[in-house]
Amino acid sequence: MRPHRSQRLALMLVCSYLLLAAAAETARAQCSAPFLVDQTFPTAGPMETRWRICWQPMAGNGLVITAAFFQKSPSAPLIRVFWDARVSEIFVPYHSGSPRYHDVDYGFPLIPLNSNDCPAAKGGTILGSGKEVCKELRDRGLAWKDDTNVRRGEEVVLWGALDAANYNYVIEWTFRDDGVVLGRVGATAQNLPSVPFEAHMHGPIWRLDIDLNGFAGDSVFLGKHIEPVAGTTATDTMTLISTESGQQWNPLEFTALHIQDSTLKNSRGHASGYHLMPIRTGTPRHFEDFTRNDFWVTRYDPAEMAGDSLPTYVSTPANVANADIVAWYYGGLHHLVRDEDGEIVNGIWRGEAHVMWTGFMLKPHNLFDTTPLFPVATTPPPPPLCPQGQRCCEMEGNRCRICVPNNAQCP
Amino acid sequence: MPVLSSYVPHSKISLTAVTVIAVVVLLSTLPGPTVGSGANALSQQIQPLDPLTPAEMELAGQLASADRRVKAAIGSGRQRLVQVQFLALKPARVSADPERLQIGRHAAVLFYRYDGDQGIHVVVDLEKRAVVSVTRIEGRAVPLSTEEISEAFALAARNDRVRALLGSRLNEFKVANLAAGERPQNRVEGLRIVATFPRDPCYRHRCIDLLFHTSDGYIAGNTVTVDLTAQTVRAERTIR
Repeated sequence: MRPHRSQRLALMLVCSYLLLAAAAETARAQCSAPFLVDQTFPTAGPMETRWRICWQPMAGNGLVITAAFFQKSPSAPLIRVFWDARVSEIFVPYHSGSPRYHDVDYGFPLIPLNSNDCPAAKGGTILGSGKEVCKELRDRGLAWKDDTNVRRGEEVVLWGALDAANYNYVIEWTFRDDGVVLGRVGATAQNLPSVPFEAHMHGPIWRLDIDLNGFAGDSVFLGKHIEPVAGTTATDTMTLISTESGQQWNPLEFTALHIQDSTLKNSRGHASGYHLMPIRTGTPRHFEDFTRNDFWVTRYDPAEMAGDSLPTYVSTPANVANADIVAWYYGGLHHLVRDEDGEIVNGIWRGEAHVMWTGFMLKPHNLFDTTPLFPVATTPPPPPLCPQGQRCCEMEGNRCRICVPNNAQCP
Repeated sequence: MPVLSSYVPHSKISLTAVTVIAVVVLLSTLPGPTVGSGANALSQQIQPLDPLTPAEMELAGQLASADRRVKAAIGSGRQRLVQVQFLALKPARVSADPERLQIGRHAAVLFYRYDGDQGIHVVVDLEKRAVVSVTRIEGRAVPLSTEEISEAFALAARNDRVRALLGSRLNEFKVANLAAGERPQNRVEGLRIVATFPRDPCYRHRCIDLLFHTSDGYIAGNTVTVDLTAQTVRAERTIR
């Protein structure tokens, strides 16, 4: 039977709506494929958490995150975490005092990747018109364990490699199922041909435009752990950073930046935030004034993108309390040259420095209402094949066709 | 029976009415557009946070270069348009729904002026085809361009030590446009130097270390530093 004209009209309108809705969904994401990564966790089974990320390749900065939203439960709204996150500078001073390179300042591009970089068999997908970014879905090991109860975690990782002449910098952004973000830079490839045996430092400076629940209303606190060894008690303090400034990391104090939004609270009424925590093997300090602090907090200014200009940015300190803030983090890789890096053969450098990493963790604090990825979904154990005291002699499909007593022989 | 039913069967009335109401309701539930209301042909096919297209980059450079304030800022001396980069400028009006922000299409255009070692940061609104802001920034915050590497290599190629280092292969070397995916076997690459001390000849100058890559690898044990501001070349053997 042919559908009635009005039924056809209705069908057309419904189809149009679906198309419009699909387009609108893309628009809501504010970026389109392949620059949109929308990842739900767990990767198999009903959704528990979700990241929605926009990225771009940018000359110099490499892989830049241009938006990141986290959804802490299927019924919760997407909360903006990043307006923009990027490696702003990589400072490379050599021990003799010269050269002193600013490796982001040339506009180096990301290197095209292939299936050896990003194998599909390992959960990899190459993204971008220039195939310059690898998206990997990874099992991240234990999320938590409690006796026999256990939950493994997952993460989506985006990475690209900056072609900084003789060096490659792997710029990696990891978004975990528990809301954690990891930013890392890995230095690899060939030692500087002019002085391949000279030790040096690679100091990335990340610019993290963190906008929790909107632009304004963010505040940054300096978190410290104080525990005098003359006593047995300890305290943890949080001091508001009220004006633009640099702050130093102290390993004895577990220094971290606590970023909060004045309006963002969890259902328990606690202020939700993220803690910026270094992952490092040391603290690089050099003559240059922008290396004298590990953390910086500035007020958002679209013209302030250069990590090596931070002292200028904070020279007339603006208010950063309850404001639109940008957090900066400076890390360091100490490259003590070793024979494993390579050698000079007939005037040509031959060899590769293996990847060394430095980075940070952004960890949710009171963002969830309770433990995420919990309780663990338990699968009931399969029913026994045979009654107690019997064993199976012959299977039929997934059930036992012939059970016999444990001490009897099979027919 | 109502008069209306004499013209239209009852089932048809309800289907049409329900359809119209449903469509109105469904359309009202659609999220609003995120591209700014002034979107022109340039931005109709792309989302606000997608990378700039080549046409947008060209337009941004043209708009910035033609702006009166920019012309005044870059002066009449030696200067260069160094970079056009995507910029997600935060909108003045904040939506309650962070995903429905009206984000426009913007570009950051960077100029460098050699006199005074100064950068000019220009924000261009691509939808309104207008310059939004012009900010003077430190010269060291302005990256190098591929053209500057080419200029540096042209200077270096006239240096006796560099000619001796590269020998008969000199003319085989090409400046690699890495952004375009060019990786010739014999290529010249550059690394940016920002001098720290006033006594350093490169202090507040545009200086580049050149690296020479052959089919076998990088030529080791030599440094070639080109000062683009002073137009000088310093080539030294670093390993004997």
